[in-house]
Amino acid sequence: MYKSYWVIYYNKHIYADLGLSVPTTWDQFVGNAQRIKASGVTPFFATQEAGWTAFIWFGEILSKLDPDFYQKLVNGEAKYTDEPARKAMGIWSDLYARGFFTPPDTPWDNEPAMFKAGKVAMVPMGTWRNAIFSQNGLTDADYGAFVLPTITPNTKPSVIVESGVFAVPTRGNNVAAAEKAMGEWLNPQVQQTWVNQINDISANPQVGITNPILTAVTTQVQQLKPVPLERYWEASPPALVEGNVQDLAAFMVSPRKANIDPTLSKMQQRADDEWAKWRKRN
Amino acid sequence: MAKAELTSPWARRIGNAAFLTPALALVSVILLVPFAVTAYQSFTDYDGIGPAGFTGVDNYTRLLGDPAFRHSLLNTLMWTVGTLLLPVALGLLIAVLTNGSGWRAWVRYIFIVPYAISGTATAAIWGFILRSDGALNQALGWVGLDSLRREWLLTWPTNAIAMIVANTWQAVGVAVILFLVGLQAVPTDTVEAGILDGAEGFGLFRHIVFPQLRPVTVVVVGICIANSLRVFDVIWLLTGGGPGGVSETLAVTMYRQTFVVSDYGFGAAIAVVLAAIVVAVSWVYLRQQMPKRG
Repeated sequence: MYKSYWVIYYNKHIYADLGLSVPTTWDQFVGNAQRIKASGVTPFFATQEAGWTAFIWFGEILSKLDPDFYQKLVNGEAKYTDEPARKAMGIWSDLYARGFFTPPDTPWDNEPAMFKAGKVAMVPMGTWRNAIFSQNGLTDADYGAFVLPTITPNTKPSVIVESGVFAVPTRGNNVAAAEKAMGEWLNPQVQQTWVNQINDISANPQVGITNPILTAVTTQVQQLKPVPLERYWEASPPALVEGNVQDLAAFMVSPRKANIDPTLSKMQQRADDEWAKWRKRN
Repeated sequence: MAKAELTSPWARRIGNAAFLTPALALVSVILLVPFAVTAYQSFTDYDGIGPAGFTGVDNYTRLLGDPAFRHSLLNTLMWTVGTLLLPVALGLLIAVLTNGSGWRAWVRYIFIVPYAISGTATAAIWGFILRSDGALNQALGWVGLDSLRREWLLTWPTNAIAMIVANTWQAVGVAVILFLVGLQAVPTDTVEAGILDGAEGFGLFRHIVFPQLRPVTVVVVGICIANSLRVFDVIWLLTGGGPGGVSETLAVTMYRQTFVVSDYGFGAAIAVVLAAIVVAVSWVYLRQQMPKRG
């Protein structure tokens, strides 16, 4: 139905006022946040209020630290207690210690308004969020988006990708006809109208993009050639993801260094249980 | 006109059964059958989609060894104690103070009106108040009490207590109404007799009025116990049972395990435990408090 890249939206007015430029390295990214924080604005939006939103920064930081490990972890081939996961949590904890995030009970529904009002400078979210920003009257004069830079310059670039699908049940009455009808959905003419409506990117690469923010994102993706990674929410068995976002939510409330290992052990224990169940069933 | 009388005992029994059947059928269909299905489900590993495999008492053994379940049980206990103390005591206090010579009657409406508000709206209002950047913390900062600012919804047990208070705000109304009804039914001659015998103030209330409120108190306490055990909406909307499940009560845990994690068997086991607690508590309470018959 759509193909969303996960990006960092930034408020162009705040960037212009402080003379900041779009970061291409992790150090620039954190440096910008520092300047924004010093000016009295919260640099990053983060909340556990909506439940699922707790995985966003974990996924972003881990994937920009070690994309191969991220892939293995969500596939159940690596452990949460392994070094890259601990390091990613450490980075997240440091950013918390510097006061870069909104309080963990900030309502997710308030995010567009806070972003528009300049109360928060950067928002990590899929390009599908572009719709709500434009509905609220924001244009490319107000905000832009970039793929989060990798943590070290020699890390392989990656981007988290999310897609929604139409599914056809294999035991349906008329599978062939249903698949044909679904195929028509990808017709560029149909898709053009659809993506113009939802302000996101089409899963069909032949469909043009008119929205300037999305154009900038796809241009960056074409230049970077990042490894596409599945979003955390869909990447592992549902019971594992649902449980682990709870642990990440608890970590966001108390993001101390001492909390990293207990959090990751709990997540790994759940991973052991849920992957065992998953493999038994499938 | 002479009435046709059912004189034979059998005829009377059939007549009684005919009157009872609709009610019994209704209770069976909407209460007993779902309960039996849930109880059966609690012995399976049903996931909401695939076939359910029989797993014996596995779900119950899992419950016993699950620290999250014990924590949820503890929260349920806190809610029960909290909803027993606060709405009952406050309800009685407000009813007494706004009945007759105390505060003016309109004061009582301030406490009764929230009762007309749904749990969802209550949660929305209190979310606005209790969030880290919410009204309460802003007000505390404004009057210079920064040291009292808290993450009201984020740390346990503060979040459980804050939500019990939010729930009390909504639930106290019904207690006020019932106690007012009770107070107005207290015969004035008993009070006058008490005054003549030298009772006054709190003593008068404690020994003359309160004993006569007993039937109402039984009802109010019963309602509060039931409400505390089934509380869901306020918690689900204010904290989602989190962060990390720390503010879940049994009703929330049951919902999350069943419909969020899709572990229907495990969720059903929690439902059975919760039902057992509700039935046991109600039975003991009603046995103790209801007037004995024949």
